[in-house]
Amino acid sequence: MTARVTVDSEVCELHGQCVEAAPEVFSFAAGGQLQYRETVGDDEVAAVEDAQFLCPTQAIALSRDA
Amino acid sequence: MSALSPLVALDQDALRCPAGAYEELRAQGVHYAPEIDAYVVARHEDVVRVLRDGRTFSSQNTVGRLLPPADPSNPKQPLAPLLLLSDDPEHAKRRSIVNRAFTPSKIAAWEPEVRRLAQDQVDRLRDLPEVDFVRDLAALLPVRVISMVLGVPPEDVAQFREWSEEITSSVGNHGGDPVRREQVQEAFSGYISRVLDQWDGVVDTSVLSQIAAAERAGELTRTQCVSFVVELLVAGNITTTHHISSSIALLARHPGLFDRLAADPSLIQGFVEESLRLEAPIQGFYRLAMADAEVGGVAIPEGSRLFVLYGSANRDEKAWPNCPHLELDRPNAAAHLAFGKGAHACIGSSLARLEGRVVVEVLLDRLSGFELTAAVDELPYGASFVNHGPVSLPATLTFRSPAAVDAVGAAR
Repeated sequence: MTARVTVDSEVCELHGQCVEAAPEVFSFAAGGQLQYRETVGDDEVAAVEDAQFLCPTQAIALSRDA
Repeated sequence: MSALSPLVALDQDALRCPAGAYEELRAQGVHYAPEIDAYVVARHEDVVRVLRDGRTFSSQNTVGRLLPPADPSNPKQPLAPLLLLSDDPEHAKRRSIVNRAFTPSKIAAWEPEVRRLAQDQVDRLRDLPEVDFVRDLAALLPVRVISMVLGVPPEDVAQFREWSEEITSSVGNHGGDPVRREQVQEAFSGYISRVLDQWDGVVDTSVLSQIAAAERAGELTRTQCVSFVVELLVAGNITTTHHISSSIALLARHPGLFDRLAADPSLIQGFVEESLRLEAPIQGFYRLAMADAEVGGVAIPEGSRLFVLYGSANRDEKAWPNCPHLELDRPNAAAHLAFGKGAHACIGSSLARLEGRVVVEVLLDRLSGFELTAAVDELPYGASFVNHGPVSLPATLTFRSPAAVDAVGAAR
């Protein structure tokens, strides 16, 4: 089972909490933009949930595929 | 006149079941309600729109009124919440001090402790001929849990609970005795001060250690530290009490539900989410328009108050097909707005969900059933259209024999 991550770029203010909470999934590109992997495995969901919770602008969505 | 009137008038039937009033409010769309001097926002999409735009819609009046300006020279000034009424960037900065204690993974680690506390509370009901689920369970468990998560030393929990009860009740009762409030505030502040002074410099999972570290780093004053603890204590208390109480009321209202959940515990999480959706402990909060804006096609002038109804959004047919029905397998079960949304989304949501689920699991484990001794459609509700929950749930309980409890436990 996998899950899908999306970040609302209009809401994101690049606080970087997600990069700290789930560095395997979120990172800053050389130009400072947020980059992230859209498909994450079961073992990464907990870290993404933490990132989602910590995001000060609540820009992260996580949906589980069947 | 707004359909909100019966709620503002604190009509018991409306408070117990506000669904009818909310349906009318959604049909009306965004409108000004003179009863509360605010624009009522009741549709799901409009509620989300307001909550997502904290720049336009400030949280400084979340509880309805504005606080008097801070006066550091007056030590007797009532403590002001640090998170609830602040806006970004200040809000984000303060929240980051304690945020990490409340992440889903940190909270999940508390489950065995929360279960132990819930079992202890439920087992104390065993020999009572009649119990009140609110007084004897729902009002007691949350403060024990939040004390533990805050990091109150075990030997102080009893005293802490006493203060907590006084502080919570004085918050709920805005006309409370100011002298008494000052005394409790002083005693509580003194206690938190001693805990902070004795802090050993180690930041662990406890919230108090994180607050102590922030104070040492100059991010919080001593008064702010105390305010922070009070805020988390209050926020995690009455709301969770209401949530647990409402879940029990739902079990009583739906014949067969108790047995169905007992037979298939995998349905319990879905039940908890439905309980939160249908009986959100906070039905609505206020916002303040910082600029001219438009919500749901209606112009909102700068300086207007908005009353944002999570409880109504949670019952909007557009977002929730087959809405009034409690369904245990909704695909979007957790997407309700009981915890709000956006930057101010409830910091304790994971803890509330954990407590809500564990207490139901423990009840199903320990009891073979219960019977309310009051009519479920006449249960008394708290006199507030913001906070929502029954204030009394008198019941007789049937405990399983200890052997049966072990069998259920083993089957899990």
